[in-house]
Amino acid sequence: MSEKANLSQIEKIKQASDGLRGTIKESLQDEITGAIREDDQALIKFHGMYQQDDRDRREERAAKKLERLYSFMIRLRLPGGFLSPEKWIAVHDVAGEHSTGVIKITSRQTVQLHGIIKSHIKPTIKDFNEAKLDSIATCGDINRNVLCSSHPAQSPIHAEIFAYADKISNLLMPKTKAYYEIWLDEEQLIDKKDEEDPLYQDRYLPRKFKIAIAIPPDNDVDVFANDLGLIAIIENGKLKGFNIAIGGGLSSTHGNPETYPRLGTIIGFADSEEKIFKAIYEIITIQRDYGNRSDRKQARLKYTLDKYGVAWYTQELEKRTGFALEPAKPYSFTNRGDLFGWQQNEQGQWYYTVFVENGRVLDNEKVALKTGLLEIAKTGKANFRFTCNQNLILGDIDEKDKNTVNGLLEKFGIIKHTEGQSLIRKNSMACVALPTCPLALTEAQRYLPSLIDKIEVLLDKYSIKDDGMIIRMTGCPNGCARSTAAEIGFIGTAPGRYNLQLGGDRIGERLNKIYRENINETEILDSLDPLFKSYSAERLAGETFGDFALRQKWVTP
Amino acid sequence: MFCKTGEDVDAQLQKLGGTPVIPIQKCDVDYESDAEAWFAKVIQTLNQEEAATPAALKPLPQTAAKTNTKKVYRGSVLSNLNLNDKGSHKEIYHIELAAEGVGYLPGDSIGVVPENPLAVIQIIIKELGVPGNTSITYKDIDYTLSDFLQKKVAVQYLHERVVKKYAAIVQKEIPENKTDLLNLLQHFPLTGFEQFKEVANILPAQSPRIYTIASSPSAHDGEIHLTVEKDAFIVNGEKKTGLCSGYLSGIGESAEFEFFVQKNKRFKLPAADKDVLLIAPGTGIAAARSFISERDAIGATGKNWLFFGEENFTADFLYQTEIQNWFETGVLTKVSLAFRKDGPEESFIWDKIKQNGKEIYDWIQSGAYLYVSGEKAPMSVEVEKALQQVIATHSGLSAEAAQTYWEQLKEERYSKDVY
Repeated sequence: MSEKANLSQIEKIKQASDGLRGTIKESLQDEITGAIREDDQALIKFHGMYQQDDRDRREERAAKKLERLYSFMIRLRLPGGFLSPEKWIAVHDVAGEHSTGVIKITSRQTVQLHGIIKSHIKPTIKDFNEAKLDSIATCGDINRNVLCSSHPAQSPIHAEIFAYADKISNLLMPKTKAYYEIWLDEEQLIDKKDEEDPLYQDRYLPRKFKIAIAIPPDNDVDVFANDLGLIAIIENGKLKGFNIAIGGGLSSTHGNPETYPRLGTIIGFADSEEKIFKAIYEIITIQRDYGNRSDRKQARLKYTLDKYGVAWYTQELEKRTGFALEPAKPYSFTNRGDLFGWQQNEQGQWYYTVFVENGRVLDNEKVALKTGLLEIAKTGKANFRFTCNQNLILGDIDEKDKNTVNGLLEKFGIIKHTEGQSLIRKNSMACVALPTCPLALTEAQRYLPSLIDKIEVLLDKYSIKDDGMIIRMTGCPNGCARSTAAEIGFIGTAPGRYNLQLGGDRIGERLNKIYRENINETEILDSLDPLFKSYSAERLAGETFGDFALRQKWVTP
Repeated sequence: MFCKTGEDVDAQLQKLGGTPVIPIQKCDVDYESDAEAWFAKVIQTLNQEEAATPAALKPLPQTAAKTNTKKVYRGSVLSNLNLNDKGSHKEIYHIELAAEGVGYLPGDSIGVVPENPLAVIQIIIKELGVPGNTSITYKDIDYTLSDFLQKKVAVQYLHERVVKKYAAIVQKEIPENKTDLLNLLQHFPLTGFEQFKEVANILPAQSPRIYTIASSPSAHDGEIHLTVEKDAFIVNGEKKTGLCSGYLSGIGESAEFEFFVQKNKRFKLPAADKDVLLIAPGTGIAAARSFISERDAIGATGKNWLFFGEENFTADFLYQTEIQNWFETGVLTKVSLAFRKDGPEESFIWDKIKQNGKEIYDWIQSGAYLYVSGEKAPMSVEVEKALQQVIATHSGLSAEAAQTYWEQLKEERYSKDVY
């Protein structure tokens, strides 16, 4: 009850929002500012967008008596990360018309556009809607984009499992029609009863909620980094059901020991679709009812789980679903990276995974990636699939069309670009950070490529350039690029400074730990040099850098 | 076309049967001494006819001060910054001057006599082959050559008339185009400094540029603020900037320049309890900023509604944060904006006036005062048309009555400061 009295500000905003409407319409009419009203800033997240500003420009604009350079980021809802070529063209056009032009593939298998000014939000969403795309619930305290292992060549029954992503997304959609009313000018409902939402009620969830489906042996989705992870159990080529893991989440706050990254805990197995959906639904209702609503830094499911215990959560779940989960089934992960280059699936269709540095699709001096992808989309011969490593798969290409697509990939230098990268660069990932992310303490995606250049020199020095170790960087400890689940993690602390973290495993089942705190680039490289030297000389056969780091006791688990 | 308007007026008066009391006097930009002499003659002539003139028409007794001696101040620059952000097509500067003891009211302007660029002056002096401190007389006053060239006369974009006179002095055929003194000196050299003394007397005196003050004496004690757009234009395919705006935009902190206050009695705030509607796009915002600052500082109870327009919201919203603060604190009741390059179709401030027609009419009906500042054409012309349309549409008056309403409004509660 004390929590109720202490509801956080965001909780009050949600409950008073009239189905996530707030005063967003009025905010859009405030022509004096490029921002929207403060309370509405919390609500637009549920509609898939964040208000941001160009932090590089704050001081200069203040001197000019201009407000911050506000713009909005809009993130699409793409369960499993899939776009038809027609939809890719639509996204391409919208990006050119309304945003910075860069199409950003995110670490959660969708795309987002940055730099959309207030007066362009509605036109952007209208254009998306015409292409049958939406951004509902891609941010905010609600179930977000549902992930699924991305590569159809991973399993003969990939399509069957993949379909779950869409079904789960639909199951967990909010019932409010505010999105259509505000952004698409659809008529207001007369009968609010149609909007009653038994799942989210008027409070939604205490915090964001992330779901991923992994298809072993691939853990490309980082299933244990999610609030709710499903691991497909396949026996004799048939989908038997899913192991269910709960309580994953990688964010923490510097200087707040009550916060920590946590990997999900497997609580059991469910075999039928009906049971899976029921379990998912009730796992969420428990979090809805018991999650911390006074302190947002204690509100993710992982803290609820640690507060009440796994046994209690499982019991409560059984009570709500009316059935007990079966014991978890065996499975094993061996890989977390993407399958670059051409691959063929069981049904004979072709897939080409394109390396997209930090997920940013644009034309630059190195490669005309954006133009090339548009040309490929125009042929209508390839679907677009996004990976959780921020790369892109051109897929479902018929044998007869492979040459056409390959020709375009060659023509625009995309094959050369993909094949010309070191494995270390292809396996690396950084979050957006500066200048737009309000949480960033330092650079990430603008900086990591140049740091990798220098790390490559070191790896080359010790002849370990072909090692597939996973390096990830985030500009703050909130973990968007899952830097705590990397073999080498860089977590921003201050401008130009990072914690260097080691000891994570290659497949995402063990987190890393701090090795050096708050160091700059020179210190990073000076720290890594002897580590690489020792790894190159003393590793066991097949021993990964993360495992080696642990064996050397550079960090303690 | 020199003094064509004056000639036309003179001709029309004569055509209607008037007889000149004294002959017409045509003046160039350096009009002051000629004008003064002419006015003196007019007064003298009228005085001679005094006996026959009714008392009401008698001229007021002359005050002791000479009409052309405006008090000249020296202001030192406190700050100078470009208000436009990246991506703007404009360069509009906010300049703050330390101006302790300078008396002015919101709505007044200052006159600034620009200085010619020192670099250009130095080349001219070199071309003339005499030291910069050589004495030269211009309209009976002695100057050093460098001061004379830098501060007293125009040396750039000389009028065709001046070129013609120069041609007569050097006895050469010179194409009658606008050109610079340096260009003339280099292509049609003089015989020596003696001949330059002749040339000096044909050079037009530098005329002051007038800028509306953007500050208010109550809000910005001891300071004068200006909003100056750097004027850019193309001459013979070359990009040039206006002399004065170029000079002011480039002026650095603690630099000093001379100015005088140009009163504007026809552009003054009403009583504190009256409502005002400020239509102030572009650099017209200067006058509005002065008015709003003043109303804020004195705690005026009347409502204020600002119309502002520019090209682009993110780059050209002049004084945005100040306007936001005034809006948040209620000093501004309403702010209406038109950024014409932002939307799919251009939208102008006069469109915004039409869109707000009903409410504008209500404000006028309840006694609001209207002020238009900024560009003369097309802005102020279109704004007036829009206001007339607003009155016609929302008053329900006949066309004729609406026209009378508008004329009366112009007479009593409508002022403009346009250029």
